[in-house]
Amino acid sequence: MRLFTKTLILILILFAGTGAAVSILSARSLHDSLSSEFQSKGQAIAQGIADSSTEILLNRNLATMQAVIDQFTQIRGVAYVFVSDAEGEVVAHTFVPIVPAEMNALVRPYAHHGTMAGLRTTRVDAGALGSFIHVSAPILAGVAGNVHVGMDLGYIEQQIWETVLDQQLLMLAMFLIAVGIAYIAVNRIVQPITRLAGYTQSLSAEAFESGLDIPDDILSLPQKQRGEIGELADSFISMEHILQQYVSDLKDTTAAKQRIESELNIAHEIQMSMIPKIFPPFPERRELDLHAKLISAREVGGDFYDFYFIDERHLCFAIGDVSGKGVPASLFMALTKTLFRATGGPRNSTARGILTHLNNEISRDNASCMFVTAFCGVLDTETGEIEFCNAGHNPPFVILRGEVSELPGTGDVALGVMEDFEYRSGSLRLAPGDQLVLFTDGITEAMNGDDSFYSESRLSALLQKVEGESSRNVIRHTVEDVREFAQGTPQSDDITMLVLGYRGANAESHPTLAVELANRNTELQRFNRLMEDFGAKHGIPEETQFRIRLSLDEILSNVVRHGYEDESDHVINVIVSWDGHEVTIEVHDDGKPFNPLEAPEADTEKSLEERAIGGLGIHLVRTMMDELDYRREIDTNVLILRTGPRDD
Amino acid sequence: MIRCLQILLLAGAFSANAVAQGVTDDEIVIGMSAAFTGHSRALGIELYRGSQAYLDTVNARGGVHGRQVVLKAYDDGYDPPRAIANTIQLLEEDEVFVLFNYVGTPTVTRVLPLLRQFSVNDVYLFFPFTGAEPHRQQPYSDYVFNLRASYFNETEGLARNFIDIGRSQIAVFYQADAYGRSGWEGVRNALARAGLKMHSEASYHRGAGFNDDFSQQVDILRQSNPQAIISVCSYEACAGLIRDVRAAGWDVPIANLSFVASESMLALLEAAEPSAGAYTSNLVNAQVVPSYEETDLPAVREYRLAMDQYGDQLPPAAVDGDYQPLPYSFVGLEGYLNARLMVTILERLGPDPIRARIRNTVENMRNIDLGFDQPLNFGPYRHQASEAVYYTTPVDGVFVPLDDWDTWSVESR
Repeated sequence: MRLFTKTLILILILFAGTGAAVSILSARSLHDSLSSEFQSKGQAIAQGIADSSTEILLNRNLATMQAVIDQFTQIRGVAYVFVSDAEGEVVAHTFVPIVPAEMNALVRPYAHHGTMAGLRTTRVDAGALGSFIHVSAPILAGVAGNVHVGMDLGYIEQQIWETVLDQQLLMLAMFLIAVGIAYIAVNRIVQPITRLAGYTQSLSAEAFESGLDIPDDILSLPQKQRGEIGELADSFISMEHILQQYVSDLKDTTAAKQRIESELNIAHEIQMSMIPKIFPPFPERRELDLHAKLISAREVGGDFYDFYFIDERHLCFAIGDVSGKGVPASLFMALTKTLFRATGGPRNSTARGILTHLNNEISRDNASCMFVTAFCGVLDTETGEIEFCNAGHNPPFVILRGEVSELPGTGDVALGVMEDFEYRSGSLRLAPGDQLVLFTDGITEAMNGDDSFYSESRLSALLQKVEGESSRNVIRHTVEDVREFAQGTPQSDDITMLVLGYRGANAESHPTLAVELANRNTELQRFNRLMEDFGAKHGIPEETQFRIRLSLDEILSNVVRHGYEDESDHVINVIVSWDGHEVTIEVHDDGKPFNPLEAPEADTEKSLEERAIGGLGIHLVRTMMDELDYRREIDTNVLILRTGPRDD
Repeated sequence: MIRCLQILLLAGAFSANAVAQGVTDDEIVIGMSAAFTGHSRALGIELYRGSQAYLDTVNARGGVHGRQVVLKAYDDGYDPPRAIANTIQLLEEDEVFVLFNYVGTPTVTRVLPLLRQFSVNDVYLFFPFTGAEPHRQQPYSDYVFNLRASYFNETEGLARNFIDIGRSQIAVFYQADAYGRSGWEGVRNALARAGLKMHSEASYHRGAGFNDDFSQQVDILRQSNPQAIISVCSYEACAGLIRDVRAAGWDVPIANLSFVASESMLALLEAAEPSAGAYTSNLVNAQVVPSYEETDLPAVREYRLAMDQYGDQLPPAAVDGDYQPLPYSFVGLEGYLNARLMVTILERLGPDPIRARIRNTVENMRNIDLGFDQPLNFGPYRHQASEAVYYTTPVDGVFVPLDDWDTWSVESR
């Protein structure tokens, strides 16, 4: 009880100070009053004896003299009385056994002319005998001698000591009483505070879930303790009520929010699953180099892309951007995309036809007045001919024989704006090696910190720079460049890009290796053998093969070791493809979600034991491979690794 | 005739008044206050026994003018306030005829103002057992009659004898009170008359007993190396001083006054001394009555007879004590003589004693013979009947008259 200790010290200081002050003061005043009292008493006695003993002395009757002075030694404080005669001889005294030399020294014979006439008072310090107020009274003006009376100063000292001792005892008693009262008072103050403190501490551990469970002693505090402590207790109690209400509300809100969030997540996943994400989408179609990417700004976005073969020869592809954002936009996008799939077919195999039909479908019951800009094209894979239709979308870029140019628009309005609108189509012919680049305004209108747009011109310049790269690399470079431009400014709109490269009708197909592995370490060796055969057969450089084996060793053993929480058998799919320039490896496993790209960078300064699991392995894979991609598809981790031959 | 009648009536009134003052048809009550307990009790008890023995003798043969003489005695323990209280009790409650046989200087000195207070009632104190001066001098000498010689007589005699044998360096050991001062003054005066000064002095507290330590006083006295010590003290203190002086190997002659109960002092010393005579040599005790061994004196013979017959009586206050009475003693003899002189006075006062006649009667008594070869005289300014001092020394456990002071003369040693 620190408060009591402080109070105790305070009281102690107070009492010690008061005690000392009172003792000093009373000792001084007692000394003064007793001294003066003693002095006047001594003077009265001396004068009295002197007045009454004239006769006795003159009669030479020393026995009577002695009897007279003997009486006075019984008076409190009188230490001695003695009488000296005119010759200065002590003729009667109360000393035993002899008159001390100090006293004899005080006696002087009668000097004529009355030099000793009158009362004399002095202080005498007679060593071991003590200190005295010494009063001398002349008898008959000194002619008959003097009476000497000594008042004991030691008695005064003793009185003072006794008084001071009494006072100190009284002070001690008062101190003890005060301490007792203080203890009770402080206890009365501190106990409820301690109780409150304990209560608040328990509050911090409380979940505020169950009903209010305030202890009775706290509940009764506001009644028992009026004043600040009562008010404090009161506010604590009402605070708990409010907190509980708040926590309850918060829980409801959080639950609702979590529900919405999880629903949004599911919507996002559904949305993302609606657009094709496996590239190359048609590995057997050597004439195509198709790649696309959609990076949502929020959980659900309004962008989409799609492609499918209308027949063996014609590939229909589209990119779109629903006006608005969020859930309404995504729903509208889902509608549009579904309709887009449903619309195209052998009976409706032109972009113009598809968009016209799509527009009518959307416009018919467009109560929410939403619209979609879209670019749709149909590629003849035999000829490289593209028939296209642009419903209010950003004009795509086309790279023809290394030259980037904007594809002129068809001047048509967005879908859902006007029913029965007559869309026009345009046409274009891609030669092998040419690319058509579709994108949404999420790229060109990406903003940096200075509120300036990324712009078509910058995109055009970039495309020129990466001319000759694969579709996938064009997208990769573009996304990187946009990110670099944005400099951390949050992405405000979906970024979507689709690049269609044409390799010509006679292009060779890419060799592919697809393997199903069990979740056992021994399977690694089997994969390594198959990979070796595949590499040797298709002329993948030894060096590249080595890096691939090393990386997959790491990735696969990681999946086997950490990926599964149960003991049952699982299948890991590995697909390896080689386009002559680059090896792409996809690893599909149904283990627990794990994004190796988010694994912390390895701290190579740390010892092996201290490093986080997987950290070093991923670090190794990052250096071995040129690019890593990860996504979670419903219940499957998809990791994509790419690398090409390295010169060194 | 009428005038004569008036005188007779007045006389009758006086007579009736006198009878009320301690005198009845059968008794004359006399009052005594003395130490029957404490360190000086031997004095009070022996004095009482001596007096009572004589009064019993007188009462046995019919009393004084047909009245029994009753001694009413109270203990004051040698304490002055108690002596005053006893005196008031005796005068106001007991209404004694006279005060008699008081013991001690400090007690008597403090009682004197009371006598003056009661002087309108003609109260007198007879024969106090003290040689001090206050009651021998004005104004109190008017109310006191003494038998014994004074301390001045004793101390002067002792001092003169010591001076005569060449021991003029005399120290005084005295009780720190009026008694001690009285003896101290006596020695001082005696020395002054010879042109000498007191060599040294040391005092002790009244009430000190034989068991107290007096070595401090012995040291003080011995430092000045006196040739003789005159000791003015009670018998226990005297015995204590003598013991400590002798134990220190100092054989200086020590003289004591009559106030010392010589036999009691001697008994204490003999009981304490390591070898015979170790503590009891070189002592001289002044006495104011002759030795009770001088049986050729009629008073001594009669005293011994009375003690043999009536000496078994103790004062009421001492009956329960452990005091062992002495067969005979100087103090007892003094008590006996005091009673004898008191009875003589009472007889002289006639069959109708009244206080008013006391002073005149006593002051007119001359040549009284109590049977110890000293004619006693009172007079208007002479309230002390005797001035005789006797010097005694212990021999074989008994104080005998000291015949030859030369034993201690400086030349002879």
